[in-house]
Amino acid sequence: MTTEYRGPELVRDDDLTRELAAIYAAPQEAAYWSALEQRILARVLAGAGTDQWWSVPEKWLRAGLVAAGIAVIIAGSLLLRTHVQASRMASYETTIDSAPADAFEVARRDRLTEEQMTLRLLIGRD
Amino acid sequence: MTAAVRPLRALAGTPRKAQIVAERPGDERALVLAAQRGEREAFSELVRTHGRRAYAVARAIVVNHEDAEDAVQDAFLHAYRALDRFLPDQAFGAWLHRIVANAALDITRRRKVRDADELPETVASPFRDPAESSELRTRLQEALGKLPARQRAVIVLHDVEGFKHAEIGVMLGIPEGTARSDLHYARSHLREVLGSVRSEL
Repeated sequence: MTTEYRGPELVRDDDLTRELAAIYAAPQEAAYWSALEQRILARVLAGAGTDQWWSVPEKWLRAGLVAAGIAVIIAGSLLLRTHVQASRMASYETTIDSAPADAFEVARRDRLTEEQMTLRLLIGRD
Repeated sequence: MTAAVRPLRALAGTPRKAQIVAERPGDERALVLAAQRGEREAFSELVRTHGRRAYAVARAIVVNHEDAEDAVQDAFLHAYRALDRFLPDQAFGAWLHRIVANAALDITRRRKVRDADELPETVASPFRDPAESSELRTRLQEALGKLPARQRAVIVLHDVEGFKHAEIGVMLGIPEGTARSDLHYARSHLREVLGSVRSEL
């Protein structure tokens, strides 16, 4: 913070000060100040006595925030894992679904007739 | 010590503990420590000692008496809740004044948003006898209402309440140099208003 002021010299104007003091004059009655003190104290006691959610002790608040943070991280990682598994499964299914039909035909053998099977058995050929 | 800085009880004609506290900072430290231990009577004594000065700080920043009262109440509640974070070796008054100034600035900001479409505000002075009202004072009040809030606060805190530039800077969260230039501009503007009204009358 700078304390330097390079403007003109600051000169107090007594007339202006007097007028300002009149405008900003505080109440003089003792009763007024007593009443204000009472209102302040009542407000403080009421505010201090209520267990509002924002007035929980700071250490509880901190612990709660940490727990909430951990819960969010765990939930996030579970969600991510589920998402990864789901996309793997989707990709596998896509691969299976999009494979040409004859790809399976290659692996399939034509059914042999009983005679052919017997013949192959006799010949010893698979 | 001006009338504005005297403790409440002293002004009420019953100079008791509060006055002693103001004169002996060690006693105030003891009061703060007691309040930090949860002794409500000690905090009440702090309210009695500092209430009037707190009001003066708030009144310098907000535009009317009701807002000043609200700011003082908000500030004491905040101070009570934050008391365990206050270091008793510091000046309680300076710490409190900063809280009061923040509460008052908050109210000013809220009011500015609320009253954005209304006519420029006039600084109200509800305790002045209407019979004493003069053209000069009315015009000055209007001019005060048109001053930027920070300049208005600086001139009142400095010229009326007697705070130093450094104290005002801490309270309002501005550099001391800014407080000085705000004072210069506020004085120049209000002096012009005074001059023109006087030449008309």
